[in-house]
Amino acid sequence: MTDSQTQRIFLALADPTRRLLLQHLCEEGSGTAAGFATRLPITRQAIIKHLVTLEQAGLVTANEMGRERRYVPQPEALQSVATWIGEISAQWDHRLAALRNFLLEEANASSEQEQETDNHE
Amino acid sequence: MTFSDRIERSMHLPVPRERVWEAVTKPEQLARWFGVVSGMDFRVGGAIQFSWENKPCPYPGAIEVIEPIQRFAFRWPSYAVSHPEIAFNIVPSTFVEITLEEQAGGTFLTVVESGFASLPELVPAEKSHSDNSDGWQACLNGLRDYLQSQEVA
Repeated sequence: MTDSQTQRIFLALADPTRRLLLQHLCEEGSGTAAGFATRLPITRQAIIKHLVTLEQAGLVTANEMGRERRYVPQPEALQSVATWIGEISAQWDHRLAALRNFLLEEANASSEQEQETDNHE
Repeated sequence: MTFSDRIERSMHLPVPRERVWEAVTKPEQLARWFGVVSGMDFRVGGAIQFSWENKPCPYPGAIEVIEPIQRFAFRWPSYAVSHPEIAFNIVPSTFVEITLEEQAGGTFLTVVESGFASLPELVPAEKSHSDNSDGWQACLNGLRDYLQSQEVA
């Protein structure tokens, strides 16, 4: 994956209309701009623009069907983003759990020490 | 829900803010939980050295914000640290911001890592060939996982 492709995926997914279109495509297997225009409260022109953005990010591919372009989702591109972001999130969860343990162990150790000191007095 | 190239996590810690501040800014304490910091020039603009499985990372990070007991932020070559086999022309780096707030009974810590969109490669090659045969369900799961990963834990 090239630098610009990574950026394109994030930019493509940043827009709620594009996420909605992608979700529809995933649920239905494929779709066309004209088909979406009859169901969604946005113009066909705007839908085409969004679909092209998704296509440039590699999240969908377009097949020419006569005068129409039929869009098909590409799960792999999306999954690689999800997997990767998920791994980084998991790393942070792991680190923060370790930080918590580190601080708690230390707090417990020092309070035990205080107790011992108290007992000796 | 925010939707951008960032990860946010937060957590309550039952110790004073000063104590957490030390744990997140001192290299020997970072080693106890963050794991990869091997050296640090503690000043704004100062370098942070990283290592991964005892291999030093050739690309240092840099401290960007020091606001004692409140905010500590740095850039780090996270991808280079975990992939020492790759040589980079442009060092890929992300921005980590740790914020500490006083909270009843302790400290509320928030960490935000951002800037993933500027990384050169999203996934190591061996991980990118995730099975495509599950088709649309996999596609929907991918979208869901991605959206969930954007939610604040």
